Amino acid sequence: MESGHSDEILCIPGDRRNYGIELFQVVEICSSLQISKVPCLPDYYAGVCNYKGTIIPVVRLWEEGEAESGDRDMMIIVREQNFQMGIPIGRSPFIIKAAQSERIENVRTFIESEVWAVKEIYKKDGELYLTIDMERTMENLVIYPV
Amino acid sequence: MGYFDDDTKEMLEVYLAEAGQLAKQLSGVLFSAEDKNEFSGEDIHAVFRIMHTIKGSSAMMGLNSLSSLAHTLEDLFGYYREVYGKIEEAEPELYDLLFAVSDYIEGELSRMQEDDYAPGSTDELQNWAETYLRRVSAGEEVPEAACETVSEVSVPGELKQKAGTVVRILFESGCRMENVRAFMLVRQIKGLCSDLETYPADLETSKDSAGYIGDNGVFIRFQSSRKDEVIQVLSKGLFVAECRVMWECSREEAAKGTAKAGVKKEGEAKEPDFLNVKTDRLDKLQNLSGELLIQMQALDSYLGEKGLDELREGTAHQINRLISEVEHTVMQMRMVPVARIVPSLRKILRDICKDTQKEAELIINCGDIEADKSVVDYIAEALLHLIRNAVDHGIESPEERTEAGKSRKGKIIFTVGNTVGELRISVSDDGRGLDEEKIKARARERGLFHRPEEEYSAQEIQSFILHPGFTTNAQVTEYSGRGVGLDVVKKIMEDAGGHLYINSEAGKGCTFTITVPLTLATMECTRFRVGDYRFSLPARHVFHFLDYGDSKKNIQKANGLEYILFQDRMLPFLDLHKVYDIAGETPATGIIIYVRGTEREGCILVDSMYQQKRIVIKQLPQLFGSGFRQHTGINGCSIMGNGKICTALDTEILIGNYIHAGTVKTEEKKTL
Repeated sequence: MESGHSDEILCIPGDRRNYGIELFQVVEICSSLQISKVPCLPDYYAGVCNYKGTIIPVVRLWEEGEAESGDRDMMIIVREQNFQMGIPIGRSPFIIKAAQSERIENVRTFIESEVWAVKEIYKKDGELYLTIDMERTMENLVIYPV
Repeated sequence: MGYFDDDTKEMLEVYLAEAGQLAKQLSGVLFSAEDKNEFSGEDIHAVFRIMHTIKGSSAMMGLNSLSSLAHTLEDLFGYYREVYGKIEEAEPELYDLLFAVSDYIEGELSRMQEDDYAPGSTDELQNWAETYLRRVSAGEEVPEAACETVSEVSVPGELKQKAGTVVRILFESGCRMENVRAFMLVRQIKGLCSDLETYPADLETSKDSAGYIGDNGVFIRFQSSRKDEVIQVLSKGLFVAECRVMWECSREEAAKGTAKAGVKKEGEAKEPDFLNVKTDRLDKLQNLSGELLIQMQALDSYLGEKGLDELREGTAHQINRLISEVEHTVMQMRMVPVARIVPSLRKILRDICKDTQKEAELIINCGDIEADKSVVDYIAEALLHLIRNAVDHGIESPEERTEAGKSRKGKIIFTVGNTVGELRISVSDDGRGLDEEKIKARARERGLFHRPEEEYSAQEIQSFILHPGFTTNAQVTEYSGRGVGLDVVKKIMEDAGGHLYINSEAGKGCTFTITVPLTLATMECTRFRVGDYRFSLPARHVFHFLDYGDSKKNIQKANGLEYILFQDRMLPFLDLHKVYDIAGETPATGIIIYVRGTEREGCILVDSMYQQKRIVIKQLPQLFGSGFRQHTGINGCSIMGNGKICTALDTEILIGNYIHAGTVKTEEKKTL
């Protein structure tokens, strides 16, 4: 596999927007990790959790309340270089092959969220999946760089 | 394919550990000799032994040039040992040669595990060592050595056969009647000894013995429960030039014939066994004991919830106690003396003084204080920067110092102390101190003033030098001018959960003080709740608890900040609901905690308290950024028994930020 690129995308369905994470960046999908609040975190941070003895930040893919429509209590643990974080999800994720999906052009013109940077957009079974540019996203997530 | 073959690769780990220790010992001996301006007999023997061991083990590893270099130095110190016994006022070149060899060995050791390692050339050092040895042994410009007035004489055989201590007394030359002087000495110690004999034996009557004693000294064998006192009496005897312990032999050893020569003190004979353990194994053990502690707290919490008190107070309590003991033992195993960083500080001081042509001595007030290995590693790096900074910016040139009425040689004082659970280290110099005008000018250029300059305190202005890239040196030297240094120290201290303080006086010098926890692994903490949030503070900073309901009348507002009257002082009053914008209000049953850090004190209002516990402080997620601690006063997290995460607060920053925010608010008000 080419370093930093994966043919397999883990898709996370949402109410208004679907996201995708390249599979090589997914460390684990966990259920029922307890989220604790920490002061001074921006709104997109849900808090922190204890993942195998390490405290990792938990970041919302959608705005608060938006993803609560799902009935699953799961967390995707992702890693980009030294950074690790958890992403809570309410619906079961699934994997698609990039090669078997339609790649949408002109990604740059797509309006990005404040935090989540988009790398690619794929269309599969009529649904769009915004593949996250994890490197840029992690840069956006740093709260106090200095 | 690396330099070492499979056989030697297997031995590399042991070689690195052993040679690393020897290199450290070598530095220690060199610094101590340079300080005393003398290689004592013990120092010479130590260098000889170090070189001898390095020679053998390096040859075994196939490091032939290093082995050969060590061999030449072994010869040099073998020569000193046999011919001179000790070296007074050794040539600076000898120190330079040995330090260069020490640097070479340390450099090689640090690279040996790299895949592309190949031994560095020793040609220059080998040539230097050989030339020096040739010159010294040929008697050309021999360094002034303390040639003993008598030839080396071994302990007479008959004295070695019996138990006791054998000392050799040398009298001042020309004192005459040496046999009578010896006889008088023996009389002085007779009452202190259970057994006593001399060589020559017949001191009082045999005049021939005077000649022998004049040439070789008198040997006295004695047995005494007050050995040190006996030696002291002998040393202070009339015309005694030297009193040296030559032989020690217990009754058992005398019986078995296994006594050894030497000058070891009684206590040193019972040294405990030591075992070298790889640091990463200790780190792992520490992490495991920390995880055990966390899991045990979770189990304890669960048993409490389910009402299983019998199990909780029986077996679980015992396991809990054992886990605490394991954790405590691991912590003790990781403790190392802070003094171990002294040789590297001396080394950097020596190098920078040589390069900047300044003179400075390092005065060590270190005691036998110990701290966790990782803490000592952290501060070692920070202290190197501080020493560099002290010489480069603080200490003036010898000429400038003389002109200013100071001694030519500057002083750098390294002091280590500890309070409850905290290490306090200072590096003070008697140099020129910080130049506030230069700092202000540079701060102006960099736009660091955020309010009128005249309202900045001296300490705030001095703190500008901790900004990344800040330098007042126009010229870039090897040691400064790039603006890299003190910000690194600050960063290191932050990573270790510590603080850095500056105190400078123009013309008189500057003191940098760092405080850091003695161990980073676990900490005794006071934990509490505010709304849905859990917090902890180091228990060593917590001194009093007050009822909020009873104390409300003592809370006053001034300049947008709240203060509370406590023990006749108005202290900052931090309601964490307000400080951290946490929903809700503190109930009347809330608790006020009086905290005092190294520099700041205040009272913190919380909703309710949890039990005080020894907890594992985990690092904040990297995504929070390196500035998170400074901006928020939050410096870590811990996992509670119920699985929730507790936010660890930094007392100093929390109160500092609160006071600073108050100052900003006052400014805004004035502007309006």
